[in-house]
Amino acid sequence: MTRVLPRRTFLKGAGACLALPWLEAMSRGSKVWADDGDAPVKRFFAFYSPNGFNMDHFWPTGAVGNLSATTLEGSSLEGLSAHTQKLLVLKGLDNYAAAHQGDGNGDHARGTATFLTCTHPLKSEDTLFNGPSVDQLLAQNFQNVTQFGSIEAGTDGGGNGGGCDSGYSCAYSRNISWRPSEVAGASAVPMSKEVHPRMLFDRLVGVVDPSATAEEVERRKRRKQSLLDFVLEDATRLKTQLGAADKLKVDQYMTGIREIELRLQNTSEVGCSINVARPLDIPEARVDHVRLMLDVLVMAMQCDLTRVATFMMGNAGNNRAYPELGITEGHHELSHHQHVAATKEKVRQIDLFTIAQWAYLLEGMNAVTVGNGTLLDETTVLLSSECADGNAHRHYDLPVVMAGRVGDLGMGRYVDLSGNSPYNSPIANLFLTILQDFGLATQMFGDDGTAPLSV
Amino acid sequence: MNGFCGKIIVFSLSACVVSGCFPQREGPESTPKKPISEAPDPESGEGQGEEPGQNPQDGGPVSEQTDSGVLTAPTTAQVYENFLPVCVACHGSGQSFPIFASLQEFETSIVRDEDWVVAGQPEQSALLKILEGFGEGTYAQMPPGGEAYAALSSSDESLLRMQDLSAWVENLEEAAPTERSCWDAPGFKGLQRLTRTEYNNTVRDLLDDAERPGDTFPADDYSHGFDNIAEVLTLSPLLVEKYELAAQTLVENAITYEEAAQIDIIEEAEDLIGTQGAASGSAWNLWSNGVLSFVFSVATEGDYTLSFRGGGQQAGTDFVRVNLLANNQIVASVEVVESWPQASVYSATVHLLPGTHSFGLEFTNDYWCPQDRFDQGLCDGVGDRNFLADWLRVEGPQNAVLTDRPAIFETLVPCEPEGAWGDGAQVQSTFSACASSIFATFGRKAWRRPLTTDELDRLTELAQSAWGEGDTFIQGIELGYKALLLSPNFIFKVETEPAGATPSHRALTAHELATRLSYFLWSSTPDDHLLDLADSEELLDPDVLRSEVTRMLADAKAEALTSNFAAQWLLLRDVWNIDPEYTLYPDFDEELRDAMYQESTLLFQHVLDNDLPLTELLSADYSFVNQRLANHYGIAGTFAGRTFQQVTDLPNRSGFLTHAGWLALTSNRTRTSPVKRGKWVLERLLCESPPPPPPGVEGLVDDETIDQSLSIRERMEQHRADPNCAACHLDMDAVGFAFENFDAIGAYRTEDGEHAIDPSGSLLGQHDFADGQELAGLLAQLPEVSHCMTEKMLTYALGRALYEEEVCLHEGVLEPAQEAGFTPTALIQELVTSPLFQQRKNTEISDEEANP
Repeated sequence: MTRVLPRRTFLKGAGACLALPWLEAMSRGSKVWADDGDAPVKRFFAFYSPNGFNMDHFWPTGAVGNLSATTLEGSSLEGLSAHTQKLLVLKGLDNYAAAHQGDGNGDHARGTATFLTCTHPLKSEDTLFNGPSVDQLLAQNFQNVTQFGSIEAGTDGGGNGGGCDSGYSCAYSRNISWRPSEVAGASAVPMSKEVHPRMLFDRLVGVVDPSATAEEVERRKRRKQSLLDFVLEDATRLKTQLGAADKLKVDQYMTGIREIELRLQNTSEVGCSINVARPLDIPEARVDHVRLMLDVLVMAMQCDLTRVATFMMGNAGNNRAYPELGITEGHHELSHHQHVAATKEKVRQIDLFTIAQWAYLLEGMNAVTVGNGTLLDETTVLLSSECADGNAHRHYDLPVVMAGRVGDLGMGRYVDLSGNSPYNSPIANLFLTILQDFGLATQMFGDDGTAPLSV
Repeated sequence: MNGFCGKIIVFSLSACVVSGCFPQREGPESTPKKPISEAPDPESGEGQGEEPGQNPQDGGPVSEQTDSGVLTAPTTAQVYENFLPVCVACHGSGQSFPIFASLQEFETSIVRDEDWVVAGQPEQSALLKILEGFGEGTYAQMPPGGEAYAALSSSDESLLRMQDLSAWVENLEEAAPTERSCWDAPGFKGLQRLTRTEYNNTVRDLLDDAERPGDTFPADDYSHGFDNIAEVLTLSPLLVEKYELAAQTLVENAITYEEAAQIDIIEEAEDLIGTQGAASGSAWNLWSNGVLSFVFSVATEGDYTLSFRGGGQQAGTDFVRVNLLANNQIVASVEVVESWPQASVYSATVHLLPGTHSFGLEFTNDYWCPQDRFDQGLCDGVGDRNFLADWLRVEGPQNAVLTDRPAIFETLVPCEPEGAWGDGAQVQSTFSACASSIFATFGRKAWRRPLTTDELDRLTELAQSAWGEGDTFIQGIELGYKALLLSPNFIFKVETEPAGATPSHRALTAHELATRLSYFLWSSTPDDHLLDLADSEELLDPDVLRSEVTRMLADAKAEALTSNFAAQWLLLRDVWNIDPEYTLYPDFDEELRDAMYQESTLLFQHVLDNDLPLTELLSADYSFVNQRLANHYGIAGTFAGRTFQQVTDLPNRSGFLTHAGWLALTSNRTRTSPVKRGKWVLERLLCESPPPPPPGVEGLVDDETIDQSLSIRERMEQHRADPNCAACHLDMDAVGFAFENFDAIGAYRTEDGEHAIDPSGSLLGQHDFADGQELAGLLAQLPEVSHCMTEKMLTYALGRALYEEEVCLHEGVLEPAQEAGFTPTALIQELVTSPLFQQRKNTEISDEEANP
């Protein structure tokens, strides 16, 4: 019997386990990379947490040197003791770009905007200006290699109204990933993030119509291509009727359309065969929400849908309470602890929660075997915050822990990079190290990254 | 001090606010913001390189005794240096009002600003008054707290005395005409994309789609308290991806072409089971009267063709006779004349409703006449008549009746050429004309202007590309619709700029004006009436525009002014986020939360619907309550459950600032926050933004220097003993304390714990009030408040902050609106007929700068 099914595309298996049909064809081993031949696969994952940490308990309790479960004992990093050999704890790094530099208040927004850019942003609610972030510079490398140059995810979208942080547009408070503009001299563009686990999943997996024939799929692809061609042509024509500033916005639009186009042409080049449950809604418990997002992100890495991801566990100065930890005050409120011991202890409880989620990510990556090691082994994973101690919004001696790999630096160590005074041991140098490791021929990063780390 | 702005600036300084009465933005003549690499170097020690000697206002040598023994007037540089050690702590570089960042800054912001210093007229100079402790703004004196400067200087020999300062002002040369001009045309506004809310409303009105696809988009970033500020509405690849998905889904939902999908079901007869007979090779042999049938389903009502191919083993005098049955009813009866294996196709048409149906073939004239029966005379001739069916087929529909079509379908696809649901390649010529008219109609709505012939041709070509590959007409139309909805012409509210345009102004086109108007009042796309007025350019006539405002405000869509404008301006949406600590406020529940939001929304809507003065938001001596809220407010009586009704003479309450919602959204989880309440009033009603506290002092200090047994008011007063805090807190706190009679969920109280509440205070150091109710009334009268309300509405309407130099245009809206009672209609009519709304300025940066 021949039946012609309705043509509406749909996602099959809502809520159930979903195989990735168009991904099954090739296993990882047989993959032919577009451009990197036999070179080892390198990945980057930045994990952001707001409001700083309780710095009294952050660092390993043991001396600088090799890390072990013992040296982490009693510190907030204790929960990472299973991975000590894959950690690099970097004490003493600074982000001068986040300091006020005469711009007054707004440390949360500034610490967040500069988190991965190390570029002092323009304080404004009218004009955005920020430099490109390290993840986005890396992502440019993979534009034609993976389906997604990068994935930006998080837990919180936006508030209901009002401002974010004294005189800074909310764009600064909500985005750590800033994509370099194609126009020289123009600001990088904030890469908004996905906070809904199902939407993130659907975005990665794509909309699948299992009933479609190969010919049908091809036809739809051509149809979509002509649609994209049409709107790109619209945009090109529109640009001729606009002033220079407005052209930049249309450029942002065109970049987005081109990415869809690129993905349309690339669909058959990735290989992966796994079953992952399609998430439904945003879980009520924070911990479940965070972990679900991280699960999907690990899947994205495992299936090589992307090699660069950023995750924001909250936006700048997030003030949510942690009733699940018995904490009824908001995180931001608590972070201004005024050196009250009980308040600081609550901050530490939240820190432990945060670090446990990061540990969950590391475990997820470490459980995926690739080649001779694990996904974690090929990934440069960063954990840090918008500031160090939240009480004074300090932007030096930042809490920085790396996992997986960091260029050629030896892992399993606790290193103190503190300079002679605040702000002369730039975290930008860490990012420069990573950029060079990924093969970018750059000698500078951000405002003050001039020399890769050698420790 | 002259003009309204001056008063505000005094207020600004006192409240240690960054800007003057308007956000400080660069004017259109100035260069664009530079990359941050050129930001001032914090180490460079600004102000040290100044050369006072080059300053034309330097009155001469350092102050010295003349022969007559009279002190000569000090120079500006001396005055600067006199104040510097004391004032720089709060007004240095990097601080919010950095007038002591450098001598030059001091001159520009103070000495040459008549709001502060009027050359030659010490008694008119606000600076001197404030030093004496008699200033007009929030802060009567500087430095704040403790003794005023006048008193300090009388006891400190190192300080210049007031008479020296008078002499300085007396001797100042008249300042050159102020450079800060008032523009008569608006500043620049960048290309603005739709916000999530606007996207939702727009597709609701265009496609009758209420699924709010915009809710899945990344959140729009706020600036100046609103989510529609053009410059920060960027487009990330994620957002563009969502646009593409939304366009796809919207079009499918609206046109649902699969409802009319053609079915073509062929069943091989030998695969079926008849009531009689058996499979025989590639056929089914019905050797006795019986039925061969199968079941199928259709999604669409319409005419379907039932057909079969068959032949007969003929015998007797008649041919094989077969009924075509649909759902066991005879549709047609045919004579099958071929002798198997010859066969023909027979068909009939039947009208079917969506659902499950059966198609059957009934063999009705079996004939069986073997020799013995023939010999007995029981039949007419030897033979066996059988019916052999090869296949059965259902095709259709033709003349589909799309009962499931959304109502919008007929609007979106008003013409359906013959063969619309078939293979598009067949009949393209009629398709193109129909498609072009469809795209012209919808395109004008979606792009908010008529499409050019060229644009229509391109859209039709796009549809044709689909037909050329065998898609149906409808599928081609769908592709065009997707293009219209994904196009930048839809996503952006386009205001064009001719190539090589100089930085000058032009009037908006009628369609651009219609778009601004519609997104301002409805947060949605223009309707047909508005587009018609734009097409005919009648909208450019201010009288027509005014009456259009009246019409649009009467439309239900004007509700957006409440849910989008007011809810953002008043921070009302925060009611959905409040989370009072249960153990302290067990009375709070979701029903109360809902009632809180409703009450304030209803008041705003009431003001809007009845065109009452906007200040009534603050002074209304009535409100809207349901049973839940009445209980909360302690209003006796029975109310109709969940329905809200207007009540007057509320005890202790009047206006928005005494609504439970506002009182709760400005509280902490565990207690009220006078600071938050005061800050809200400053920001939202007076357009002043006190900066957050300096690092390390955020939140109420809980250290041992403060006696925790004191009332919150007393503790905060202690806190304020620190001049760093006092500068900002004096006014915020006074306003906040006024509402201490209301707890963190807005219930009335007279005591906070064991402490009696004292809600009295003074507004801006000028107007005394006894409690919050009185303060609300005072605020309603205050010119600053209507000035600020106008600014908020302008910011929202324009999608940008005002430039400082637009103050005259701003007042040009405010003043006539006030004369007309400051009603929503009056204010909106003045606003939309103002040059601010009617004109646009071309881009500031040249192509060369953007593309070096």
